[in-house]
Amino acid sequence: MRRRWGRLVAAAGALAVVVATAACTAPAADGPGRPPPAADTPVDPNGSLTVGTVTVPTGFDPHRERTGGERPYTFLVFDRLTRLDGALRAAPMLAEGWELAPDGRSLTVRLRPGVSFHDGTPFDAAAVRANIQRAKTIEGSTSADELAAVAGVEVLDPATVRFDLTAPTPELPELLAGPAGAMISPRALADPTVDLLKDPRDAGTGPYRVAEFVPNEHAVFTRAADTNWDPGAGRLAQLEVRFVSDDRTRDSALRAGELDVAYVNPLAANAIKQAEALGRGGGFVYYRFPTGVLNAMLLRSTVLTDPRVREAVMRAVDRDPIVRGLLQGTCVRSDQLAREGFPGHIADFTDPYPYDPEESRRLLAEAGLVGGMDLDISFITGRQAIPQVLQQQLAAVGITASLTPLTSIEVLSAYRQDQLASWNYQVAPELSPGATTDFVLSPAGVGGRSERVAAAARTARQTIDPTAREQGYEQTNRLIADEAFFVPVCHLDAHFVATDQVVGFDTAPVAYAQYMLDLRYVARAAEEVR
Amino acid sequence: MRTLWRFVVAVPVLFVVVSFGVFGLVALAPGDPAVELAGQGASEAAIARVREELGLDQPLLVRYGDWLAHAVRGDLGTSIARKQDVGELLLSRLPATLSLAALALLLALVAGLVLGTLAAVRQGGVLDRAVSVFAAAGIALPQFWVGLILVVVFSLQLGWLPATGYEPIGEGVGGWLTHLVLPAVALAWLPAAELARHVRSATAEVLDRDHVLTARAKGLLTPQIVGRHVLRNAGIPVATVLGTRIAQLLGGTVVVETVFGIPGLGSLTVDSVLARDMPVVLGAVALATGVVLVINFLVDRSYGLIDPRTAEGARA
Repeated sequence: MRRRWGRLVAAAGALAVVVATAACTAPAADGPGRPPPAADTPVDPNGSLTVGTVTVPTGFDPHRERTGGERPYTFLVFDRLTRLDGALRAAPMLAEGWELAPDGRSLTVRLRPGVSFHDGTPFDAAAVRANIQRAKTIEGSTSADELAAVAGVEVLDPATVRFDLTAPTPELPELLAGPAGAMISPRALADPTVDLLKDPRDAGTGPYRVAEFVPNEHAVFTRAADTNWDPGAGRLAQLEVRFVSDDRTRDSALRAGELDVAYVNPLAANAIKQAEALGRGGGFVYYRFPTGVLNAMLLRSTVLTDPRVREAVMRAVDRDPIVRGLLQGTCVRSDQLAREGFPGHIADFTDPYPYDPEESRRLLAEAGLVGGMDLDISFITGRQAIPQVLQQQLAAVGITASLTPLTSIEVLSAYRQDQLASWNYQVAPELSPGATTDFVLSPAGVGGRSERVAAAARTARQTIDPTAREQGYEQTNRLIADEAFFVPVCHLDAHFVATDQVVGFDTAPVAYAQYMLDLRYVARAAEEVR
Repeated sequence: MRTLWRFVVAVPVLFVVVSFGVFGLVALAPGDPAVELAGQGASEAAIARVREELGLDQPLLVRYGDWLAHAVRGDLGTSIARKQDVGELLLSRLPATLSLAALALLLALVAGLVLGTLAAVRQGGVLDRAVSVFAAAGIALPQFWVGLILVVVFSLQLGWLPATGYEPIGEGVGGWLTHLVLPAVALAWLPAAELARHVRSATAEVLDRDHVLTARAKGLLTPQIVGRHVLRNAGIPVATVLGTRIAQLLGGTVVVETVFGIPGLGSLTVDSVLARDMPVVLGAVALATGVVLVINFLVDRSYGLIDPRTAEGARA
């Protein structure tokens, strides 16, 4: 009897430790979230910040980037001709302004005067020409496709260039906001000892220089004060951006004061709720920003060739339980590609394939699948929650879905080779609506195959009038929805938590990716306001 | 001498067997590293070019032979994901992992020996039961969970120790040690528990032997009996277990380094497997194989030191 009591006491003790520990980590009480520091908060010119993110620093050559995840690093060093605003429209950066020819076959760009690269080389029209030529022709270029329509760059005077185009390309200013428009010092380009992938040295015009770089781990930047053309940028003496892949490790490091900013996984509702709670407590601010990234279940039209089958899958999916239940409202339910407020969004859109299990069954029967069908849904390992709900919903109409976790490399390889029929994926908007459509139709992207979508996109992208072009993209997106290339689930928001000493963080997120940051205007509050 | 000879023969054979096995497994796994390396949305031609540059278009045996020919000359190649020399990359990560594993081993050894011996000496008592509970919990609780709880309590609540990261010993012993304490405890948890059980079992068995009873009859105190007569006899099974646990310990660094954000060999290996970075995976496996072989060799040699009757000369 005594032995049994002893065991019970030991078990109760162990349970108490676990419960007490869990209680210690419980979120703070309800209440309004802490507001971010005001934009005019005095900042510490000698301040430093450490940012924990999931984007991997693999190199600094903007014209040969491996993933968009390099941009939070490269954009601190290399400015572009333009940048994108919150609605993904081009705004001035190293280009002060631009003008498209009436026929759309050339773009004249006025350059910002008085800018020089960190190595002292003046930024001028010749530098633009050298960079565009490099981006188009360098072996392994990842910018060549974006510049495909650029036949050449003409230097009109030291502060003006003209892009000669093979076809009307009114979206070129938006495309130049990406790596294709990044400007590298011509002196560095001519110096064979400069390895831009590992150490860009003084090759940029951006607010920071690279002080330390450990591939796939972290990069430390120091302010490029003397040559920085943008007085509002580069407000930190030192900035470290650290790759921390594990959600909990980032959270722990932030709470322990080892990080000043931490990325929060937008597909982990509990992590987001905890981040919100952290923002309601003391010392931290929770940030949420809209992005154009769509969580969707891709349906590869070259594998699921019968449109009735794709339609049946779409009609079997009820988004509400996923968005409200599983994701607890941490993303925005959507039935179309473009988010409200983003290019290509259709205001009066009617979902062509709303949730209708009966119709789904009928379509399957019509397609000759009276007994149902098998479908393999792939997902990146660790992101199984949404596919599991999809699996249950599809089972209700007779579709037996098997779930396959894969690494990103496996899924990328297999999907583009038509080895997978379906993949739960985040469709991120590209720099322009035309580029986004290209991604939807590309075998390396969503893999949709449709002549009418391609024709509509071609027309839209060459339309000079902005209003007519926008209408063209709306029509393109209607056709994309009609083709059932994917089941839209919801548009993701970007979620971050920062300490209340981080000033200007609301300028950092970039709307085309949930992980994307441009930290050029971020600072640390001065000692006296802490 | 015979053990040394066996070791010398075993190293190259095992190296080839293990490296070819790993090469085959990684090469046959689905997914093409060239797709990721070529960049998002790259054309088929661009991917083919990357594949050719990396030699991924060659047959598996040709690629393996090429790697082996370079590896035996000490050239482990270049990381395809990081563009760094693999040897340098492994060496840069080695100190963190070795520090972590060594500290964890020390903790496991001390905790396992002390707790196991005390439990054996006090069989059936409260201490024995407490050690049994500890051992059961140590085996049942996953290392990542133990790590998270340690972080919550000692970093976030008490603020005594850092939650993540690693500081090289060259930057200060204090910083090095404080960064390693929590991950080392998390890593030592399982081997300490297993070791405590083995030590208890081996010690309890020796305590019942005639020579121990004789020692008791001669009036020796328990600490003297344990020190002089018990631990040495219980040492061989414990050394055997310890040898296998060290290999497990190296495997455990994969999880612990991720939880604590330590840039060591474990996290490097995981990243490289996911990226299909074959040269790094092979280099890491070669290194781990070498470490395990050396440990096994040392364990073999330790038998003779613990109990001279088992030494090679004595057996002959």
